[in-house]
Amino acid sequence: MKKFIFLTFLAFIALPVQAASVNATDLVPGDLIRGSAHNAVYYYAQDGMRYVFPNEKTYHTWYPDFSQVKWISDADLATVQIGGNVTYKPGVKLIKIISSPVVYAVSAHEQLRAVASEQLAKELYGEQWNTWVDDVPDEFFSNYQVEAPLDVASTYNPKAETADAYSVQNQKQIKPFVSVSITDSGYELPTTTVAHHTAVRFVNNSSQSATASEWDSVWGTGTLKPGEHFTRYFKEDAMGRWNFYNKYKSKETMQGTLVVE
Amino acid sequence: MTKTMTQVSAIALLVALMAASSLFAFSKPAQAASLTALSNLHAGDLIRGETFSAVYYYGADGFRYVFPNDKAYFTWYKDFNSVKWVSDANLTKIQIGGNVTYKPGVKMIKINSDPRVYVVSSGGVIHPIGSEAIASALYGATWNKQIDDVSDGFFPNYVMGGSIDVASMYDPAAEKADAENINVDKNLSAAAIINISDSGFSQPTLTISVGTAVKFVNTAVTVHGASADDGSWGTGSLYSGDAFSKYFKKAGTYSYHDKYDASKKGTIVVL
Repeated sequence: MKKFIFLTFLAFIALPVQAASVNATDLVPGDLIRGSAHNAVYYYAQDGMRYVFPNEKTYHTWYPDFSQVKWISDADLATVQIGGNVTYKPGVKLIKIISSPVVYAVSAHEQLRAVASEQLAKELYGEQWNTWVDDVPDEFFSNYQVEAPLDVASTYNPKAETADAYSVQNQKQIKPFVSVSITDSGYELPTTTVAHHTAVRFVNNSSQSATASEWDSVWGTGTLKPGEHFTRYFKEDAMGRWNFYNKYKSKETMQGTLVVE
Repeated sequence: MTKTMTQVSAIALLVALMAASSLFAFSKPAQAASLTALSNLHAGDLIRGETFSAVYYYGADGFRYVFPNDKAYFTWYKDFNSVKWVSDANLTKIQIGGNVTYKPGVKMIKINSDPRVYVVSSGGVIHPIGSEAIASALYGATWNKQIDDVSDGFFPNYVMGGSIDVASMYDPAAEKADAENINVDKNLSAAAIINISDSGFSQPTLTISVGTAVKFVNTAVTVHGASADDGSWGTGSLYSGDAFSKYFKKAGTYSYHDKYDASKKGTIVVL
């Protein structure tokens, strides 16, 4: 067992001898990816973004090894924006922070539930429950939401929680991105309507540099060369109607509207 | 003293100071400062516990905010001189609210897997810089020495804003001046307080705006606890003097009751 841990650790820090490389365009949601210069592994989600594993412990609640990791070029990796951090897979472990004795069970959608008593921890994870507790560094604790405490064992079933958490993107409730296409004749659609908490991907399908810049520069894609894209999340606080334009043209000649419902 | 020597000793002093301060961050000083009681903490204090050396910012909302690393810390503070010590037992009573982000205007940031360079403005909003020329206009000829690599795991603490396409869209000095402190940067304000006693909740109906924290305090001798009627949130068991704070980030009406006495009810209206 000790040797196994050591080997996995090595795999995380050392470059494997051979790497099969894929293109960013061939990635499918749910892929594990890494670049070539750095060995960090990311989860590629259907919003087109990559999600960071804050550490190896988090990774291993989801995956037994690194055999499924696909390599992409560093240039391609740079085109995949970071969306957030991956959290522990529900049910697998109990977590705590070093500066507090409270032990939490991990529940669906990154929610933590304080385990009310040692007795309860035993009922959920057995006599050896304390060997199932991982310390999460303070700086990653706010990736979780602290919700209702667990008072009775019957309201939490570790195995069922794990089974329900079939993917990282399901835990994060990530939806597919919505595209806004930039063409030589303007934005493909004058108005795009999305539900809030949707990732909007602005794609430059034209032959020249372009932007999608909010009227008053509240947000914007920056310069997108032909073929480039930029994704932005529109959350609850961004609900409403946004006008944007192409800074390489003018508000009068190339504008579009995004409605966030 | 010749000019060269002055320079050399100045550099040596600087190096020594930097070494001393980074040592301080990671090791326990020989002499622990006296402990500060929770009641004597003020919004904006820097705090740490006894066993671990991590330093936190004590926010106006009563939560502690984590400095992800020394670099982030030093954008806000020169040294650790004003850090107050609290007992480990008291530190556990202060919930973690989030991470501190870079002070606006001080440094540019990037991640190692993406060549884009960002400036930081208030609330951890970052803006990609459109070109090298703009970076140079904002931060001078040495602009490329004023970029910190932020580790991937802390990048989601930032919010992506619009790109800086002309230098006049961003003024590092003004951004720095506006970021008076972390409370201002994060727009933190005091939590609304609901006291729980044997006779019920001190504010049976409380109306707050979205994004306000509510602090439940058990002022009774006996155990109490607020639990959502629909089971979606709760304070857990609060013994005499215990408190639990929760942020309400979505508008709605939240009904709850005392889990030890269901006849005691309360409602929080979030507008």
